[in-house]
Amino acid sequence: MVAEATPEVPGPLASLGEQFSQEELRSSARILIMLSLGVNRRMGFAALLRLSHCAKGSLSYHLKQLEEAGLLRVSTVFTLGGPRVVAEITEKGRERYSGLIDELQRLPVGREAPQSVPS
Amino acid sequence: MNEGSGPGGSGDSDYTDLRALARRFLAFERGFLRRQWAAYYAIWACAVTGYFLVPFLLSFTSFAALSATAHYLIFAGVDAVLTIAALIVSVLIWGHAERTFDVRSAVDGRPSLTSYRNLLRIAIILALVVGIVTVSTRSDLASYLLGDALLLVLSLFLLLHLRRAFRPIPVEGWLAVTAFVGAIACSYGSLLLFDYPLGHEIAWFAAVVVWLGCAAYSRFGVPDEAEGS
Repeated sequence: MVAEATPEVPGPLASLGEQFSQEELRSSARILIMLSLGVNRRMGFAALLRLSHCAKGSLSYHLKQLEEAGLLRVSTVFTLGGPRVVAEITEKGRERYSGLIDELQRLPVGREAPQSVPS
Repeated sequence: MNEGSGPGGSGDSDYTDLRALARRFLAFERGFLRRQWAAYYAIWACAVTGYFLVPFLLSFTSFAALSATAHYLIFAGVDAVLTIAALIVSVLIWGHAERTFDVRSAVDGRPSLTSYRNLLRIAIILALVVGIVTVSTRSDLASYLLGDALLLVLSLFLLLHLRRAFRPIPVEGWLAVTAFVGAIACSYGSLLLFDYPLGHEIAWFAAVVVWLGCAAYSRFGVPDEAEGS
């Protein structure tokens, strides 16, 4: 009997696969939110809507998923323009963001989908 | 991107997405960042205005009665507050620029130089605070020239961080750097070549006006298309 050969997955891709196997990052909208909060630290709901192109309900769902995973905190702040919902990255979120950047850096350049930027 | 999993959906992602998502984020971030830089242009315009306004106000008779030590303390105190406030805003925005640069470097597969830049930044900021406050409490030719040299360092820092934050640098960024370097050049020219100290004030006044214009444009005039939507 011949054992079935398993294709070897290169290190960076295997590691990235691990990141994506976690439920909270299994969505391009949630990755966009994490990238954005990693850079901006804190963002308003309206800005996240413009970034992700999600519907309000969909964005709320993604934020809830990320909040439950402990990657961000959602709160309402009072500003001169009225109450605003803001999302702020947590320490755990920053670690996950750093992981994403590391993985991105280690990805072989040129390995991307033909339709690179979703509309 | 996996078929059928749009950005609004909750479908799976795979590694082929990540770089495309990061590019999309960078396109969005450009418009966002341009609006944030308005604070940078505005705070330095206010700080430079303060550097010139404080000695003018202190020359009024009610202040003239104060002792030389009191003059010095007020002068140094106000300049220190202005410089520190401007540097706090600058450091926040520089940090933002650095983090954006990290994402861009990662997208391009280039390493970023995180370990060196914090030490370098702290050293330069300390030198600027001590230098500007020390120099601004004197009013001789050497102090003007040294003050301009310190502001030249700041303008180089501005250019460096604009390059890190944006690709390409937006029009208001180039205007701000040009006004800054132009003011320094005019200031040196008027002080060294023409022995005309008022030229120093006029050059900086023009730079402040340009900076306020840059702040207004980047805050209110940047078109929505720049968000890359």
